Amino acid sequence: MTKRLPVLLLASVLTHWALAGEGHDPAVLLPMDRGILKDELSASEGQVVLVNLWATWCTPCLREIPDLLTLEREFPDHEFRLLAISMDDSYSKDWVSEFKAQHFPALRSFINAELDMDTLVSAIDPVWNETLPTSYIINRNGAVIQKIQGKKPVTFFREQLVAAGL
Amino acid sequence: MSAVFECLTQYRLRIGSCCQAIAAAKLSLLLLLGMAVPALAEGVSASAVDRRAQAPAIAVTSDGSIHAIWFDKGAVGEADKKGEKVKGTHHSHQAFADLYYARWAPDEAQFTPSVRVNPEQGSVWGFSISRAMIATDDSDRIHIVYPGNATSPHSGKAVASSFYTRSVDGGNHFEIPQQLNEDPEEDLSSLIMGGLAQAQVFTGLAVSQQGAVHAFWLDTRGMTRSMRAALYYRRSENGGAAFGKERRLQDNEQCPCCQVSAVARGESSLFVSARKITDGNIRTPTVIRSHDGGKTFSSPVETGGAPWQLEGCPLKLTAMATTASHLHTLVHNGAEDPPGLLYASAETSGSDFRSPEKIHPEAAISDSPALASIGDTLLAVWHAKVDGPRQIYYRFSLNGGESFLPVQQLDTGRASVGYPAAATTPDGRFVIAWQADEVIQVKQLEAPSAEVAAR
Repeated sequence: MTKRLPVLLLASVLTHWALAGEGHDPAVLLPMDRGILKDELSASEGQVVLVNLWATWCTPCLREIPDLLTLEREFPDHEFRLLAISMDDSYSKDWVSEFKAQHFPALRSFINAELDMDTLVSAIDPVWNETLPTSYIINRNGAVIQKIQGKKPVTFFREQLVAAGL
Repeated sequence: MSAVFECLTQYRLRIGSCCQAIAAAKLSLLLLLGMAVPALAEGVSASAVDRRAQAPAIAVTSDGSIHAIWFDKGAVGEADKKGEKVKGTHHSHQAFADLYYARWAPDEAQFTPSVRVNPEQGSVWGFSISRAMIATDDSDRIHIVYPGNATSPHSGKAVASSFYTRSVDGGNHFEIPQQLNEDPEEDLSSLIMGGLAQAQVFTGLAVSQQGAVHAFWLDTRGMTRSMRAALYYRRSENGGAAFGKERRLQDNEQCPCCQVSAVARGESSLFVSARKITDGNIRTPTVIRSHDGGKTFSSPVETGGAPWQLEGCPLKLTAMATTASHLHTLVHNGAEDPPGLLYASAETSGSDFRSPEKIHPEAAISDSPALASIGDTLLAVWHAKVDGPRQIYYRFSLNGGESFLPVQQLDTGRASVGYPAAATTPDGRFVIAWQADEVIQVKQLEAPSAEVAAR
């Protein structure tokens, strides 16, 4: 366990200045644990947040990301936040970062730093079934108001976000 | 030279048989003396604590030895091998794990030190949702299928293939793996995304008592943008020494990322489960059957449950086991409220499944099932959350699935646990393996007697 401490400490340092997306350079894939996820969501209160769980091995996830980036450009920054989290193994961080830089350079994403997927996601969804892609719409008060599983059309996401107050 | 090799092989076999006989005698003595089987009743680690282990699978030979395999992702603190291997070529679907093996003998306190099964380091396409599978036969051969990395001889690009290996000496040595699938010519890189030109993985394994080996896998051959896989099959009738030609059992109607499972009953009956995609992207678990040792198969029969519509990766295997007259299935359904595991059964000679029931109605979520049976005693094991962290739970049925005893929680300590596997021992016990943090744990369980269960 002690060997994992540096990873978590680094995650903590890196993410404090990235809270609420401020200063999160898209080129940097930031580690995320349960605490950081909760902090990020707290810092995003007042915005509608779309949490998107993706992985490099999940083809429907990769097909969905360009649509989510379209929505991120469409809605004002102070109103909407796309909070993407790669569920790849945190030990693959360097490689996932390269992959993201090539395919989705504009995507500001974190990577799961917990030992398994469920430990992280259970911070917002205690009954997640480890199916990807999964997205959550979180309202301005920080409440999860919708879980979306499977790839959906951009029009569907837009409707849900508008319904959430955008 | 070959005569020398054969002689050495025979010598090793004789030594192996001798050791097994001694071990069986020791176990019998322990049982006669009424002594508890050491350590395993409390649980022991199969993998090293400084390694990252995932996705256990277990099988037991006639001397009571437990054979465990799992994916090894490297040492704790060590960077994933992917970056080093792909060198910026961005193969997102690839993985570079190893397959590890360890054995526990009935009179030992610990598992043997683990050894790598795949000859070339980092050649296993290992994820916890595409497990390697292990099975044994009456001759104590140990059969393993696993997903591996390969290069297409046609396109020169990376592919994922199904591999088979076996041990005929109780796990002391494993043969050089053989690739089960043929090498497809088509380059599907742009369709699969992530750099794999083809994928022939998510392999299922069933082995008959006499050693007929049946391997099934999901295959991207013929895949279109609808992203549906075909189901392929290969059979060995001589204990895995050689396999017949591959056969395409089902066309491109299968979910490409839900592992195939298979179970054999006697020498002639085979049951194979995959998740079929029907109109509207409904992903439904189905079972196909053979009653002639794999020569012919039935049409798929649905195991039941609410239609689960999903354009995504469910990553859900159907666990199966047979009792005297029934086939039993346990599988996650994301369309249930709350999502969870559904248990269903059908007569082995019939076709339709009874209406499925939740195996753990109190759970907020249940997943990752395993089933094992001895006679009409059935063990179901899974991971679930009730009102806290994920735990391992189990239920016994003493009457072939007609009814189940109450849900029980496995005592696993404080670790983050999940992904159980189950097997049975010759002396009538059950064995469970699971992932605790990133260490594989193994424990024996005994089914309660009917009298105890009644109380």
